[in-house]
Amino acid sequence: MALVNHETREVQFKIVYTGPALSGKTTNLQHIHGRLGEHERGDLLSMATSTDRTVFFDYLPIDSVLINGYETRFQLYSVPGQAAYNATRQLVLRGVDGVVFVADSGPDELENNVEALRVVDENIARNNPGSRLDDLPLVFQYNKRDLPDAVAMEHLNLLLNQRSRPAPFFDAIASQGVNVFATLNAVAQDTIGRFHAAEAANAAAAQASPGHVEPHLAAVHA
Amino acid sequence: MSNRISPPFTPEIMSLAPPESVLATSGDYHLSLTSESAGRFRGALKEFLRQSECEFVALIEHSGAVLLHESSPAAAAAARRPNPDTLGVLAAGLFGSTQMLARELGESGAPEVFCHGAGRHFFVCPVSETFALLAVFDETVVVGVVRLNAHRAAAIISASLKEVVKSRTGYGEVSSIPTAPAENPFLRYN
Repeated sequence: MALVNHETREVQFKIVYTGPALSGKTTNLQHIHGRLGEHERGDLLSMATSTDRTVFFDYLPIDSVLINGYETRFQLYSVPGQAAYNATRQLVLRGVDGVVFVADSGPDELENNVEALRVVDENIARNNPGSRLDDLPLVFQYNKRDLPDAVAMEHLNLLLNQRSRPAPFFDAIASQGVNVFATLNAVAQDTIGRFHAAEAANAAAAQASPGHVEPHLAAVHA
Repeated sequence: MSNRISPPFTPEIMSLAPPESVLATSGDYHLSLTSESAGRFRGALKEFLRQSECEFVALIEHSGAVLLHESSPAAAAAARRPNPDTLGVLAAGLFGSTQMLARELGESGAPEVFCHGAGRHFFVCPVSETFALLAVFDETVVVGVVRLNAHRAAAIISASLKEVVKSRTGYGEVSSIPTAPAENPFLRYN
């Protein structure tokens, strides 16, 4: 759910980093926060326990490209990976525009990766009527590639990315910043690209049939 | 270590129009705030601030997006001002979790949230199913007055919300959003 503010000439998107517990979601946001200049990003807001485990979400607003006078802003969130926090995860997934799935390359984490992906899909369907994970801009980041026993990328991709339209994927070492921005770039690019395509379709449809309101928006208007 | 971007996401390909199936895929709606709508909402928020004597008010969406915010002259001139986006994100999380909590307890409808701080308080009330109003005020302000005026402002705003909510692929107003394709917004940092 992008927010277009014609008054401030700003387009805002929400990107959520999700994945199993301890896969490196917060580490991604910390690296992005550390690398961007202060004029390009806001403060990193972390709602974490005393042991630095995310309890609700992490939040980082960042500015991106200027397109035809409209500033593009991304609100980056990461959600807690632990199963116990599914309720709060659902809240954060409301109105999501793009998803980064941070998978753990550890051999003992395969099952957790698959389960986390299943839950994300379920949560998106529940909180964004009419949307599925496959419908959204999605990027896989296979993190912790520096583990000596890391599972082969091909294996992870076979396990997680067998989709009707396979998502882009990256090997990464988020703790060292490897491919953190490449991942962000891919999801941002896809999100912006789809938004502009949808806007063009909107404009064409409005000219063909002005004044029509789709039934599925009735609840939002209420 | 190779940088594995699958072929459809190279910049050259991204500049092409995506296939039809992709058009219907970026969330079920988006928000488009025109200057006219913003002016109407801003009027309601300013009137709320004037009548309630609150410091700050924001119209937020349940995803955490802040549509608009207004501050009283004194609050706007203060040396230390909270970031409106951060307030909106936190208020949306709080409001959403309160809604879920209420539902778990068998409540129906959208609850209000009031937090009584040591010197500064805040109040969140629903504007519609997916929008809420956040008001921040100090101990000199009566919460009942805030509540009353917040509901008045919410009623005014909710009457015009449909101007803001647009179908992603439907038949909303022709928007003046640019259609230039995205390049690589963040690759320079890699």
